[in-house]
Amino acid sequence: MLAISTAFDVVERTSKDNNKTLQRTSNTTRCLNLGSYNYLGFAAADEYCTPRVIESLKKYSASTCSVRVDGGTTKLHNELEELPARFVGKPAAILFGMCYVTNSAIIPCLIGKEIIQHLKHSCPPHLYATSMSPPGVQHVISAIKVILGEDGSNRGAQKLARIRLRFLQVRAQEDGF
Amino acid sequence: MVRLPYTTALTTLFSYGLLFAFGQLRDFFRKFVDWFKAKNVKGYAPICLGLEDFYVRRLYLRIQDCFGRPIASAPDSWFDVVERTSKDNNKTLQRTSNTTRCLNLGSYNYLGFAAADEYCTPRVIESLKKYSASTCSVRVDGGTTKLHNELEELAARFVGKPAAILFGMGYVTNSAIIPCLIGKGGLIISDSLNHNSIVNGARGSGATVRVFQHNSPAHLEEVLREQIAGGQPRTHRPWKKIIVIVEGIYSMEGELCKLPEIIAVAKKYKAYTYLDEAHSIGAVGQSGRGVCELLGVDPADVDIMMGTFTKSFGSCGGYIAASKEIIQHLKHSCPAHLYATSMSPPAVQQVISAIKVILGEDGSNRGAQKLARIRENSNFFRSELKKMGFEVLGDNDSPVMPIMLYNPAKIPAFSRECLRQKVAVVTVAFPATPLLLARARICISASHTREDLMKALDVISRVGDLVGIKYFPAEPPKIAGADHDKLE
Repeated sequence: MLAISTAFDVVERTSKDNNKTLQRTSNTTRCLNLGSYNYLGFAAADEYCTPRVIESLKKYSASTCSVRVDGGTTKLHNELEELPARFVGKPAAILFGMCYVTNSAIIPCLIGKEIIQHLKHSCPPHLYATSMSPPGVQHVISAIKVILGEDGSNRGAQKLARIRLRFLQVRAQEDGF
Repeated sequence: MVRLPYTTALTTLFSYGLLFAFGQLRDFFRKFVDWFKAKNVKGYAPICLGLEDFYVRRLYLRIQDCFGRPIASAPDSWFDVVERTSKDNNKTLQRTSNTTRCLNLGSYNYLGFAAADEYCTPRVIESLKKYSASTCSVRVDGGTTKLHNELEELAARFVGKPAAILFGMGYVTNSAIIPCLIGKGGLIISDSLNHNSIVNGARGSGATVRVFQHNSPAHLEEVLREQIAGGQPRTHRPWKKIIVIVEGIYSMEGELCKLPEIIAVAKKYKAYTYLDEAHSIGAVGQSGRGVCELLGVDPADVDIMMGTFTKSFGSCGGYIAASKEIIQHLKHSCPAHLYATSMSPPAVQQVISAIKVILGEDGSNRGAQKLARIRENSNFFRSELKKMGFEVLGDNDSPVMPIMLYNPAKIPAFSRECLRQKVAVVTVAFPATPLLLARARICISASHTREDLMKALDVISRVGDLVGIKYFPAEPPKIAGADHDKLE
C-alpha cells in the first residue's frame, strides 16, 4: 500500500572531544528522508523542471550579479512575478531572492511610526540585493506549471493527491490502526 | 555646519509652501475623481495614507528626471548618460538609445577602480573563468571560496583589526549586523545624520535608540551621562551594553567624524563604538585605511569597524572588522551570513586586487599615486568652489563636496543645466536631507585630470551664476588668477 519514499545519503561525522567539534568523513549512509520540506518532490531531478533549468542556466548564467532595478531583471523574473500572483489569486506580486528577507524587510515597509514612510517606495532587498538566480526562478516557474497542469500532464494533481494520502496514513498510524 | 541665509530660508519655505498647497489642491480634486472607483474595503485604513506618499506624487515626480539617470558605460571620470524623454510632464520617463558623453562628478569612484584597471581586471576575468559569476549559495553551504577567506583576512589586515566578515550587500552590512550585536535592554546612541541602513538596523534591534547632535562630542557626553544615570526605561536598571554609532565621512555632508574626541568620551563611560566607514575607507588616510589613519586613532580603540567595497574599490558588498570573538558570533547568528547569497567571486577578486594596489603589493606605486591624486584633486576643487562663492560643506581631504542649493526650484535648474553642458552631478533633496537643505553633491575621483576639474569648475561657475547659488561673495579675481597661474 505504501509508495516508495525518497532516500538520500547522510554524511557520517566523528568527534574526538565529546561533540565539542565534529569532523566530516567521506562515508555516507543511505537513509529514508523524513526531515526535508520536500512536500511535492521537486527537490530532486524532475522530468519537466530539470531540463528547463539547465536550459535557463545556459541562456542566463548562474546569476545576474545585479540588483532588480539595475540589470537584475530578466524575462524569467517578470514571468515569475505574474505566475505566483495568478497562482494565489492576487493582482500582483514581487520577488525576493531570500526567504528570510521576504518577511524581515517587508514588514518595516508596510507599517511604522513615520507619517512619511518613504521606505515603502524604497524597499532595501528590492533596491540593493542581488536578484534571484535565473535558474532558481526557472525552477519555480516549472514547478508551478506542473502543479497547475500546464506541463501537459496530470503529474501535479497526482503529487498533490499523493501527499494528502500520506498524511492520512500517518494519522491512521498515530490513532493505533 | 550650514549657515542658512535668512532670505534664502524665507524663499525656500515659501516655495515649498506653494508646492504643498498646489499638491493638496490637486489631491482634493483627485478625491472626487476617485470617489466612484474606491478600492478600499469600508472601514479599513488605506495601506498608503495620503500624506505618506504625498511627497513622491506631488513633488518628486515633477523633477524625477534629475534623479536615477541611467548610464551606458563604466562610471569613470567620463561616462555616457542615457537620454530620457517624457510625454506626461515627468510622470513617466522613457529611455532613448541616445547617450551624452559627460564629465562624471556623481559617482563614488574615489580611487578610479570603477573602470577597467591594468592590475585588477585581468585577475577578475581569470576568477570569473575559475569560479563562475556566482556561487548561488549561502556562505555556510557552498558559498565560501578561497577568495572569500582571502578577502576576509585582507580586509582585517587593511583596517588593522584581528578578524573580518564579508557581506554581499553594503546596506545589509549595517541593517542586519546591529540587531546581532545589541537587543532589548541595550542602548544605541546614534549620530543624528547616520545613514538609513544604520537607522533601520538600530530600530530592528529592539534596543533603546538615542540620538546625539551631529558630530558633537560634547552633546554625546551629555546624552551618555543622562542615559546612564537614568537607566533603562521604567525599570531604571543599568543598560546591558551601550554602543555609539558614527560614520567616518557623512555622505550627505562630506564631513569627517570627530573620531578622537568621540572615542575619548565613549571610553570614559565604557560604551562600545561602531564606526561606519562606507565612504572613508580607501578614500582618506595616507595609505587609504580611512579616518583612523587620517585622524591618528588606533584601530584597537574602535570596537567595530564597518565598511563597504562599493566605493573606493569598485565592487559591491561590505565588511565588518572586529575582534575574533565578535566575528565568530556574527558568523553564527547573522541572517545576512546564514541566508543570503554569498558575494560574487569576481567581485571578491576585484576588492582583493584593489586593496593590493592600494597597499603597493601589486609591485608598483600606483596605489600611492591614486591616494595622493584624490587628496590633491579634492582639496583643489573644494578651495576653488569656495573662492567662487559657493557654500560648500565638509572638510579638507574629503572627496565628498555638497554645494548648497536650498530652493526647490534650483534643484532641477542646476541639475538640468549642468547636464546640458556635459557635466553630470547628483542633486540631493528630501527625504535624504532635511527639507530646507537641498544640495548638489560632488564626488571627486583620482581618475579626474586637472583639465577635467577645470572644465567642471567653469561649468559649475557659469551655471551657479545663472541659477543664483553663489551665496557668498567671490574672492577678488586677481588673487584667484594668481593662484590659477601658480597651479598651472
